Amino acid sequence: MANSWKDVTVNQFLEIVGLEQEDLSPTEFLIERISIVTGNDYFDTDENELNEILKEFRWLDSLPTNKTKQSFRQLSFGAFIDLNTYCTDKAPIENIDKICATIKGYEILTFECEKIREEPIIKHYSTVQSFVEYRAEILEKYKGLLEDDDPEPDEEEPEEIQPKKPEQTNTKWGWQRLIYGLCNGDVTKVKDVTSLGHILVLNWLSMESELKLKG
Amino acid sequence: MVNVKLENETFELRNEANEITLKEFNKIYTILQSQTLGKLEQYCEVFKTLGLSESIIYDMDNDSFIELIKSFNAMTITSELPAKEIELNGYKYVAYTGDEFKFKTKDLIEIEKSAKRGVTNFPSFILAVIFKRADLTVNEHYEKSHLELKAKLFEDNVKADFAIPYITLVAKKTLKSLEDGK
Repeated sequence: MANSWKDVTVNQFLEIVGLEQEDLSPTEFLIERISIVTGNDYFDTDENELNEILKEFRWLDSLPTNKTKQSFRQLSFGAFIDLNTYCTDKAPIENIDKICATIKGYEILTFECEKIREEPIIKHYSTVQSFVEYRAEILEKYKGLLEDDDPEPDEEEPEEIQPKKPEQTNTKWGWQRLIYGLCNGDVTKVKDVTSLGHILVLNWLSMESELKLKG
Repeated sequence: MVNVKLENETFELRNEANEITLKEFNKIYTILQSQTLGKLEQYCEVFKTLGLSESIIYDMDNDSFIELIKSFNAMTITSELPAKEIELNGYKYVAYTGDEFKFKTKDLIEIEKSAKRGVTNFPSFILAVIFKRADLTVNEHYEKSHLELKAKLFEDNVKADFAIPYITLVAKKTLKSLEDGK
């Protein structure tokens, strides 16, 4: 019996997140959520039983957060790039297993991801939530680095120049371009560069870019 | 029945729930839910649905029209439920067993879905969901085509006074269960 988020696995949570609320009626949505965490079917219950069940599972309206604070400063540049990709190719929560496994430092993710998906969501949700906030701070702090120096103009110029959204600054070669520069074009040095701490690398690149501007 | 008096003539207007068919009630329900019509326009449409001609409605002075609206009783809410069983075309349909009406979670979901879809005969659909044919399985009962046919069957055979208490009750219970679930 699921009594709190402690009893809900990452897989079950992802199933809940995947429910298409607009395709379901309000009660159907609430019942589907409960069915996912209990494995029971409640369609045949009467209204009194339904009210009791809905009250019992009100905790599903909250977020499965815990209060542990996490630091991401130790992440390597390579791990940060991977994590950034997991946050942009789909909603970060859908990549919760990959994000948590990467933060833990696992290089081969398949087995670790499977393990994480069977663990309680409460153990991992806050990690993703904190990382999403941390990533936003980092991208804001170093936003100039990911923009092309000389982006190719579009064939048809838009009438008005729209402000770039943070995601749009990750241009086609964004991270690769930075790694390429740091390796001086030598592919054998990629691993050396990506193993360095991401803060160190980003600070280095900022310094380089500032010096270039001054020079 | 209420009498509508104009200068030279008097017309009769059905204005009690037991004088209105469920089909007409569906239409009235939709009109009164309309967001695009003003209150007076809504009642013009309602009275047209009940057979009052457009010319009579537009000839009426404002005070008489307001009086007519005030005397319109068809939507009066009654909480006492009518029979919990009804026989139509040789089949028995049962709304509930026991002393008290309780609907199933599946009923509530079907009703919410039909409201979301904006079915044009919502009152009939509520009755179709609540009243279950005694000889059918649960799955057969909730089949879309079966519910649609049953809604039509009720439209052709019962008056609004049969539907209103159920609709009122369902509306109350739906709201309550949504509040409880919040």
